[in-house]
Amino acid sequence: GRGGMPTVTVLYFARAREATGGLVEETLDAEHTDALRALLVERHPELESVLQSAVLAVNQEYATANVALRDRDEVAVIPPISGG
Amino acid sequence: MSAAPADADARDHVEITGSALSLDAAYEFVRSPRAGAVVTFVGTTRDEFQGKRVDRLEYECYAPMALKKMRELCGLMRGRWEVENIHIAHRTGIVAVGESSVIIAVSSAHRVASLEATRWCIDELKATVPIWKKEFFQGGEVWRENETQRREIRPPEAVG
Repeated sequence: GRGGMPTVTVLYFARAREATGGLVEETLDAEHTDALRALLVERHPELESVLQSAVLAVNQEYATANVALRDRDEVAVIPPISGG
Repeated sequence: MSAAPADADARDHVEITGSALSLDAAYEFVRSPRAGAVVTFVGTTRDEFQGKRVDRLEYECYAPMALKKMRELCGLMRGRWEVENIHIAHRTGIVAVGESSVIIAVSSAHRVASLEATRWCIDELKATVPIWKKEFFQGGEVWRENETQRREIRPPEAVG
């Protein structure tokens, strides 16, 4: 990405998608998931409460702690799930 | 969507679909001359939740990750129990009252394996697979949240 920062694709689901006003996907630059969370709240203030209970998944694996991001990673915002 | 990676076990079938689920299809996939038992679990939309009349549920899914997690569930089931075939199908979109949202079918030579594996599978699916349901009831709508939320599938306990 620009200036050496990783460029990642962010996906929004369920309550997170509603908080972005219906935006399902966007491309952003961030070094790690903690930084990405802060950036998401900046861009979409309504995401703040959702992010408190949401988990991030990086390349389809749940991120249990701060995770370093790499170019072209896929990061999904996963609010509390309710399958089944 | 259910395209499997090259190394997927052919005895596992995992699927996310916008169409109505078929119990017949699940049964046909798992039944086998080697199986003395077939267990099926069907999750259906109830007409009531916490005193409110439910009109319908709408399901949404992060499909590539959900399929990945469902395949992991199959692998863990095979590691713990002697099962023959496994079929997991989850529906997305509108699921009206009385309709099925999820079907799990498992076959095994002897019944204990498929009974225990099926129960474990639905419990772990609800705790770990990225699928969401929005409930539409009289007077509003709400995103439901399952009681147990895990970031890692909890493997079944080892045989004592």
